[in-house]
Amino acid sequence: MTSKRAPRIGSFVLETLTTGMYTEPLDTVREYVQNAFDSIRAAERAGVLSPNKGRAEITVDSKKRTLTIRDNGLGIPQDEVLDRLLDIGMSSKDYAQNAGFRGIGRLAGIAYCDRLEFTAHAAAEPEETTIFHDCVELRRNMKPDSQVGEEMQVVLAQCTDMKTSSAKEEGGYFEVRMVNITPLDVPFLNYGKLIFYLEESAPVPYDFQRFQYGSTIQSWLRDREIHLPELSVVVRGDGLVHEVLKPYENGPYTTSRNNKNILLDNIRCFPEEADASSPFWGWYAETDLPGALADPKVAGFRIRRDNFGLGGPDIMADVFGEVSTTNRRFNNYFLGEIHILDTAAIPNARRDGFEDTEAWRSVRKRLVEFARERSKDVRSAERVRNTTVERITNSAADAVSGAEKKMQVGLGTNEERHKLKTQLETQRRKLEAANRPSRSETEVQRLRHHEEQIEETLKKLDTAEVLVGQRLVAALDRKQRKLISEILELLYGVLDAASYDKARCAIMEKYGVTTKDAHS
Amino acid sequence: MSNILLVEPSYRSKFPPLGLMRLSAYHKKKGDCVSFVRGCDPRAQSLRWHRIYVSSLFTWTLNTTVKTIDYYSKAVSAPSDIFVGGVGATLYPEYIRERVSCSVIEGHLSKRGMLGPRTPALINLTPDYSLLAGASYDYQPKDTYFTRVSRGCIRACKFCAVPLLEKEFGYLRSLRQQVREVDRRYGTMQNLLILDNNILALENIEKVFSEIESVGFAANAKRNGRQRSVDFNQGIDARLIAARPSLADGLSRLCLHPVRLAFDFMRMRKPYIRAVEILAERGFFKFTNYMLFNFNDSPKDLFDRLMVNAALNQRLGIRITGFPMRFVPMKQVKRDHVSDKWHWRYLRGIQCVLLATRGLVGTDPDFVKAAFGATHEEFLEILAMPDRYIIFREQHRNKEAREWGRLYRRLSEASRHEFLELLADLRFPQKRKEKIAKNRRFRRLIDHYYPDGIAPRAERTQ
Repeated sequence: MTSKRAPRIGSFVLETLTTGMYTEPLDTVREYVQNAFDSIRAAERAGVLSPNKGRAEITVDSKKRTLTIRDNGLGIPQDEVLDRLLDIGMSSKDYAQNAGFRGIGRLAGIAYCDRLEFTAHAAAEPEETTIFHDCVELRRNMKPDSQVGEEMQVVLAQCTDMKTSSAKEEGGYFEVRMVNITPLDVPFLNYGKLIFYLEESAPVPYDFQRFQYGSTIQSWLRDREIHLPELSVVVRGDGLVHEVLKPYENGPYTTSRNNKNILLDNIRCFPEEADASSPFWGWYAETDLPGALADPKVAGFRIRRDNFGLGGPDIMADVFGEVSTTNRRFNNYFLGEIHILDTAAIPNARRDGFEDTEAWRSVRKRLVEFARERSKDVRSAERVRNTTVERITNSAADAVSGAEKKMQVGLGTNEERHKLKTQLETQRRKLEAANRPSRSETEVQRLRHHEEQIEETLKKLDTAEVLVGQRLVAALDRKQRKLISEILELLYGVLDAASYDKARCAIMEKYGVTTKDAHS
Repeated sequence: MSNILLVEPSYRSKFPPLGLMRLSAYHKKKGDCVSFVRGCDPRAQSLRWHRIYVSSLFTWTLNTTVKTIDYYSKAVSAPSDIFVGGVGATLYPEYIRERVSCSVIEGHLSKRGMLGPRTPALINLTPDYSLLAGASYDYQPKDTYFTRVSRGCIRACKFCAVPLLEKEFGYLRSLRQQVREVDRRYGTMQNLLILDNNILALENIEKVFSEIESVGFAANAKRNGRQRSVDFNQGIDARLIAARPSLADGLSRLCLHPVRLAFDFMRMRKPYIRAVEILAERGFFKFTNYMLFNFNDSPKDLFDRLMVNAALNQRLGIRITGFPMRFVPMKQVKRDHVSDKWHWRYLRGIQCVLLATRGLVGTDPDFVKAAFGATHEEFLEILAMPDRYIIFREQHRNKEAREWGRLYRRLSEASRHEFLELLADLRFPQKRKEKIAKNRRFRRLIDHYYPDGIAPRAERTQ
């Protein structure tokens, strides 16, 4: 027997839709910025707002512990306010045209403030409408230990109020106000953190003054008639005003290890044949790929959809990881963006990835190929550098083994010692010079290792005895001493260690002061 | 759109930073986001700015400006994106250039291109009065128009920075226009501050008086039931008034309060007295008097000027409040200059006397005599006293101070000179104890300044 009764939904579900929804509290702000973005774009489409006039203003008041997000978009006509602001998961927004479309994101703020207010006004209407949510009471009902067990709709209705008042401005606007933000350590009221978060996640413009390639990207897009949607976001608070811009700069950047410089030679936009119907487009900076970027705001390819950042560098790190597990780290060697244009690739509700659709699988497959190519770039850049390092370290190793051999057979003269030292020092200088900022960490380690070996050999050389003055009997003249030294050297080269020792002992027994002395 | 940060270093300042307010007006007009902070603000330091402007004031606060520039150096892409201007930067630009890398702007922003290609001159731009709305620092005066009608000065006083900062004297901009523009943008203000160096020297001064009257600052003018005031903050030239009493007629048509005059050396006694008389005749009652010292003057010169004011107060029934101003040479980055005719101890003594009155010399002749002495000798003796005997005069009068006076009066003129030099040397704590231990001659006197070789608690700061 099947029941015709509609299932009831308990208030605990609210927790899943608020605190349970996002890993990062600031994602709440992104949800509101997303609504602002959609509203502004709708106003532009309706011809109510001229292009480039849309703006989201975020105001932080750390003393009063409030955060306000206001946009000058379409607003909401008074007769639609209740449907649009009270219903949950019933959004009529088209996912192809809007960044947000599920109709649940606006609840996110409930988790982080005592009162959540939404004020909406549509152009030319005389009044604005404000909806208030008592979040303290809502949260009490959300907790599994509350034992209240009320239906979600009932709880929401009980904790919600509304009022109308005369409009503050003539044009449309929408304002979200989070009042008395709790707990104390949430980052909403931290001006710097809020801006850094928005730089990475909001669809803000490039900083053309700091990032010359911003205009290169723009003209590349213009040629291909690809539209990059942007939103002007200004954050005000406690005396500061800042327009949020993407964090990319001309550089130089540095690597996370060793602080090596990463110079941006140029940027490359891809794919070459891209147009507005392509599933994605992107750009990345051309560098000599010496290592992972230190700056966490820009390191790695970032996926953007509608110019909103999705999931930080993790999505593309996973894609690189699919090429080979060890390649995962290569994502952070790059600085770039990938904008997904395929509207059938739908961001998941958390906005840290995509729904597992055919469209996303197909885009992802192409991105894996792209990551494979970029991994090759890293490897080949490393090879190029390694070849050079190889040459330098080889000749350093030759110098060290040459000196070791001489010391083993005994130094002929002090001049010879001096000559060896000079050779070693030249090699050391070469190693030092090769240690350029662009070198990778493994290269630096290799160069250092050889430097250390040279240091050690130089020290040994200083204390090594000279055959000429000390070991041989006084009756031998200078030339004879040199000859003995040369013979020993010859034998050292052709005999095995035991035979050499035997031969050496024999020679020293005849010409040395004593065998014991010769060995010491 | 650019992100612009305006910084006033955390030196002590009274007036709002007008230069930064002009820069704010300029950038806001361009559509930029403009922020203002005082001193080193970690939030502002953590963000990236397209440009940072740092102001400077006196040369002895340049070190604070330099530290501030250094603090923000990482918040811009290139060091040249930090612009430094203002009085200190104009007088001693090399001090900044030698220490930090930045763009130093010398002089007013009176020409095009000073802030980069195609940037306009900003000198005549109306300052952004809204900039300081959220500032936590208490700028004074509030609810006031800040205006300048002229620049430069007709005089070339050696002690004054104006001839270096603004070489030529001339008319700048209509006062009426300035006030109207502030009204339009930021609303009507209660008072009017005129920051000219020597406004009375303007040929069209009568027109300026009329403009001041016409914008609502005629004598006894009120707004919302409250008295309005015009303040020529840099002072008006007593010599010009003495020579042309009709200027005082013009001033009497305004709600001028207070009258600020300078009396920088005894040589200008006659025109100064004449100017005060002329102004008093026209009903002016409250005066503020800038009195330079530690320049070419001697302590006696300052004392005589104090006495001239005390006598004028008594004779004319007016109130002249003295405002002694210690001279510091143009390129000094410390305030420890002692001129030939002064001793360090005397300068310190003046500072102690003025401590109780926040730098002002009271108007009551009896007070002046009690504070500074009735005679020149008494004056010098008061200045030579240990700090706490000056500051807490009543407390020490009959005990330690009397004993100190007995010892000090015994010294000959030459010994006094030697003793005062010794005190100057002892002001630095390094090796003070050893120096005191070595000196047998003045030991008992020194004991009053440094009991057991230590500076008393209240006197530790230099």
